[in-house]
Amino acid sequence: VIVGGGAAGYAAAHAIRTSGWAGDISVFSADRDAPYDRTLLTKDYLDGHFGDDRLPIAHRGLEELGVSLQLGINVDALDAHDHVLRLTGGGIQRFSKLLLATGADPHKPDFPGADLPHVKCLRSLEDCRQIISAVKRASRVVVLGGSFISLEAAASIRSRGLTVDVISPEPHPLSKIVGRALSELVVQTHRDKGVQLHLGHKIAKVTTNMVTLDDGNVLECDLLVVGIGVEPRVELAKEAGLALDRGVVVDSQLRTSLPDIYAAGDIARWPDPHTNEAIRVEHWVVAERQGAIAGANMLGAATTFEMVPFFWTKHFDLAIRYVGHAQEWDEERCEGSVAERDVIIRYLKAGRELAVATVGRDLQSIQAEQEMMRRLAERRRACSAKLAANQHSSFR
Amino acid sequence: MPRAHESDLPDLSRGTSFDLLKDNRPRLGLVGEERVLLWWDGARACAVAADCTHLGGPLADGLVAEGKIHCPWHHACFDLRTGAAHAAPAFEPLKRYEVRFENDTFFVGQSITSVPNPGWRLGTMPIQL
Repeated sequence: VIVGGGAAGYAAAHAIRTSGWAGDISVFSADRDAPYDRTLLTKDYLDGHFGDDRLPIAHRGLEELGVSLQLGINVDALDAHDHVLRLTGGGIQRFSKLLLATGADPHKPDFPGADLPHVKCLRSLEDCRQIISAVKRASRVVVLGGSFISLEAAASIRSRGLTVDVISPEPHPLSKIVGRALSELVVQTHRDKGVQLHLGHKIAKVTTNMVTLDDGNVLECDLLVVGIGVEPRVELAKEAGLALDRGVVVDSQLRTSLPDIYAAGDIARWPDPHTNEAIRVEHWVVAERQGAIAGANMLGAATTFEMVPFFWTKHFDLAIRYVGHAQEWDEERCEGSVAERDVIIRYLKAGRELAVATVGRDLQSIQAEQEMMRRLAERRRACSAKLAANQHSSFR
Repeated sequence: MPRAHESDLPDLSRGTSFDLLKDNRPRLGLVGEERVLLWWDGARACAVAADCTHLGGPLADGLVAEGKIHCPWHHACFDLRTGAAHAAPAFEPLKRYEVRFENDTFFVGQSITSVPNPGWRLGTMPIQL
């Protein structure tokens, strides 16, 4: 049984079925839509380039895979000891193995006027449909947030020819993740395409047709899109007594602290062998690959999750690819030219490469990822050689 | 994404000399209307579809390592010998094609309909549910 119909939930069900498991698989999803490719919601779907036919997460839907998919269903409680889920409305579902892939909820804004109908968060397909239908009637759009979601959405809406203002509390949006140089490249790309950016500002209040900034500046606005980050949905895990640490704690096989219960995707904090840190990320492909590994492990595969984290982001014709995970770094090694969009940037801490971002060098992004996998294998070989040497000397 | 003009691509059904494949780089060409990669793994030749099953990324521009090809767009990964989707964001396998060898030349034929499964198979696992 899988709770969650996003990237991790779909990938797990797909892996379980294609591995040869002929028994029952049930997916409960709070979303009202069958699994879709969420990455398109801020990119090609929002800018009108892709229609609904491109949205399914993969060619074969869950029903085609013989998976029972129940949409719009919330799970109220998890009884880990008795292996039972309690569903909203009174139903129960027993399980032998359970995957929690509950994803994340968008942060809700709290300025005066945040509950007006033209203020919309962007997370689900339904959110996106509402935004697209509002965009068709709107002429002046304001986007709040200095996140990947908000900036990608701003670019897609601007591509439809609307006037777009972005208000970002962060003076250098995305710089905590990709550094100052790429932050400035993204900002410049938006400015070149006519997006107005108000960096280092917050919203003081919103009325039906105006947004007032914290410096008193007033913007006309008939649609306000909010993308200010997400919060992992861990209520179910918390009440069931699973170990939490800013997310659900899992081991290298994506097992939670209680038997027969696994977690994957936005909620999972796993021991990353590349950085030797317990990390949690909100990347699409990470969620999919964790789901696939968790699914295999629910059948007994005992596979460890060792992927180098990867994400991509797109703003107009600018694409950035990023492999690895650098929470902080003390050196950026840059080859090529940021301005010419032909660059590879390595993020190092104490001389050790933690992550690599590329623009216009797609092949080098994969090479960097493969290099990180090789270094992990080498460190492991060195470690076991050392262990063997120590054992040998202690015998003597 | 700019692509080479289809008409500039070699017709793989009309034969590819072994010499052109010895560098272990997949060779992009056409079989009928379809874009196909022909690859020599050191012991035999395999042919698979050339477009990623995720969003259609050009696999010919990707990286080949240990018998797998990595898509340059979103890092999906496929087994070049079987076409199996080895890693997300792709889930569906690449179509495979028959390859015939005659007079030091490889001829790519029809697509093979059997759908390969991922590398991991239930039958080999210690399972107790």
